[in-house]
Amino acid sequence: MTSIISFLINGEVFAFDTLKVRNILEFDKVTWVPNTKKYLLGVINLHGNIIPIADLRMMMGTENAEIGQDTAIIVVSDDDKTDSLIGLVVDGVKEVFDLDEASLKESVINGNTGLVHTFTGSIFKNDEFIHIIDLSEVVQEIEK
Amino acid sequence: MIDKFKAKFVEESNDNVHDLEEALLLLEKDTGNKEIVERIFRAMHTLKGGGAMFGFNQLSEFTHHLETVFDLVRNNKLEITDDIISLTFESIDHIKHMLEVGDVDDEEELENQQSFIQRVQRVANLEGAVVPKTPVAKEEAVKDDGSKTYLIDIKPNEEILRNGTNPFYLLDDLHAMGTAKVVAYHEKVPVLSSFNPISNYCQWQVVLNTSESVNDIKDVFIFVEDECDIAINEIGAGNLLTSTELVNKIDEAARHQKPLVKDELAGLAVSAGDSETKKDGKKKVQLKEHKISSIRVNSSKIDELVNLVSELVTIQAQLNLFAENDGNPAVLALAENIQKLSRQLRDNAFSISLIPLQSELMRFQRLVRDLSKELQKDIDFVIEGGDIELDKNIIEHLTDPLLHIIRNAVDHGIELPDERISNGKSPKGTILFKAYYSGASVIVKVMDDGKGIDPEFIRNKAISKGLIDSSTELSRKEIFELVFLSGFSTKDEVTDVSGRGVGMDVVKKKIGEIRGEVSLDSEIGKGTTLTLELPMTLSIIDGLLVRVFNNQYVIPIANIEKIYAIDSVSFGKTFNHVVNIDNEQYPFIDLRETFETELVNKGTEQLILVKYEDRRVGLLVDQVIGEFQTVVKPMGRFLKKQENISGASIMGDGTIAMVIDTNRLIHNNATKKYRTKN
Repeated sequence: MTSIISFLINGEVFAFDTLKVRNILEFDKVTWVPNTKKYLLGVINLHGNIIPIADLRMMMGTENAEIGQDTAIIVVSDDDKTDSLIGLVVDGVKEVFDLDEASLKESVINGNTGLVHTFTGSIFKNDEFIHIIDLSEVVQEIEK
Repeated sequence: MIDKFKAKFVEESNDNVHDLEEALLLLEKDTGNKEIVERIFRAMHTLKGGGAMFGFNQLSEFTHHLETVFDLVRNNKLEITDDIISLTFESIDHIKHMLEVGDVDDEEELENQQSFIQRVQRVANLEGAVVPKTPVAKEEAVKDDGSKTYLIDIKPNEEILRNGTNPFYLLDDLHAMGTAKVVAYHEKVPVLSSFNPISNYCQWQVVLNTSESVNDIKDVFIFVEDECDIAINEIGAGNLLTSTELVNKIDEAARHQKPLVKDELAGLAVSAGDSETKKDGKKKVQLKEHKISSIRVNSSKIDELVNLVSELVTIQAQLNLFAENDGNPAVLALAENIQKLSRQLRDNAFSISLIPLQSELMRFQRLVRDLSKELQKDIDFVIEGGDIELDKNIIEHLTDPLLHIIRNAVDHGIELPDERISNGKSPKGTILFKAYYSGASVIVKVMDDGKGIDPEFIRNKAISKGLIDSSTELSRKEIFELVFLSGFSTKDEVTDVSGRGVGMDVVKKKIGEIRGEVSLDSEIGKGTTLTLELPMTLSIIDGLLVRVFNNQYVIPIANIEKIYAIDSVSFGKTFNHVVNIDNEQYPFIDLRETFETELVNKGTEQLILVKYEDRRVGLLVDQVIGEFQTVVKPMGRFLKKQENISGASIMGDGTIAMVIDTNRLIHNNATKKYRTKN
């Protein structure tokens, strides 16, 4: 049984494996870094470490993503090293719950809007679909 | 648990091996030095003992044979020859290998090992046949070899056998430590009818001559302390067992079952010879052990400490800011004290992460030695400034480039002895390794007095490789710079030693990674000098804080030449990116353009002239804020591609300022322009 954390991007619900998540932060001032990809918003100071921030919404194909009251940063690390910490901007964090793997369905993806194309799977919960994002693909894309 | 001990053993053994190598290098220069032989012997002995204890049996066996050789040397039965030293060096490499892999059962490997052991044994046996070089000490004349003679009383209690202890093993161990004579006392053995086979009725006295310390002797009894009464008494220096009087006394004691008394034997020792009292001073030197003046700490702990201190420095700056705004004198005083303390703490923490170059130099010494033997060159490797300290991360990055540089000096630089003589040089070449502080940097030079490099040769080669155009005019310095271009290797044929096509370009890249610079200079017939300029530490820099658009950036002060207000300079009209200062033209880079931000000229911009190789390049910024000492933090894995920025600093108010890597920035800018031209 894995536990996952769900969040909102452009009205849709997505989720990550909670084991990869280190922090959840309110969106605050981000120091912009020149000569980087558009979705890399910059860096923040988290407990004395410099953490890059990527706008996951832009990566998922949302244009003109705005910063609102619920906008949050989920700090994740794919290999548990401080060097690989990265903050991902989402529209809002929803909840943490246990995932029943049996209920996992194959994600149906139509179109090619964003930079993230593969999902671990989707589940149907409380009348909505939650798509579980494969973090390694996100990380690979940012590292490219 | 055992694995942990094993790891510890390997770690310690590596130290021992290191010590062994160091001693061996010394011995090579001073083959008669008994102290060094002693040191080597000791290191081997430790390896042997530890190896057996932690399951490195093959290592232990192998070291045993090697130890035998040095035991012979120690006892003046064997003279140190080049062969022995070379063999020992090879053996050390083998020991390293064994420490790495542990016991093996691969047949090929075993065979290899066996043949190695045979070679070692050959050396030992060979000399056994040769007449000892020093005459055998005459009876009565006590030889002073730094050893001592002890009287050891072993009185096991009756129960000792029940624990599975075999007292004979203890005696065997004592025999292994030197020469020993044992007297067994068996008076207490009862008549057969009341004899209990699992009880012990015997006790022993041992007269032992050994160069081991009392503690080492005690170690033999470490597991039987509770079941035995042990008394170890020194009866004199030197090997008293060569005295017939003493031997007679021992025999007599055995015959009459009358225990030996320490004082009597000690009396004998005094009369045995007065020579040793005179040599007391020398003996002390030989027995001197290395004092432990340092402790072993996991390097990740040090990294963590340095990180924490960096954070503390940041927070302390915040506190200062707060205290100033608050204006409360008590708070101000507190903040000031904390500032003082944290500064001291910072200096301390950083000095902990500094290690002397010395630690790596031995590898280089070894390299020069092995290579010069292989290439039949005669080379002296001279070290100056081995005590210079550098950040451990820098030293880690430095080893490979330096190995390469030194390899080059041996392979390509120094000529063969014949060639040197015909050129009027001494047949023995010299490679000088020199390190010294220069401001906040450390300069490392590797100088050889070999044949040198012809600049014209480099030029032609670069032309033939298509690296430069044949019409290009280059200064001497620029020509030598060509060597660092990728794909440039001056030796035509690839040798086994160096020159596999990768060469100085890799060196430059590696040194660049630790914010160092490398340059080369050479004179034909006189030799070649490679100079490395390195920062002392990677994580703290003096920087100039500037503003470009909305962001703050730090430019390392070390690179800055001068700062000009925009109205004191005039921009060239014909070219976009040239500026005239004091009747000189300099290229400049508008950082707002490079960083692709809004470009609004307000007339308050400032131009910072920075050094780039041997040129000056201007950087245009919106505002110069001031000078700061900052802790540079890495940007993490995802921003590695951003080459213009080498890291980030957290300012007193918690905001982030990015540290500009001016060398990369200017380099990238130049290549970019070049590309657009094409």
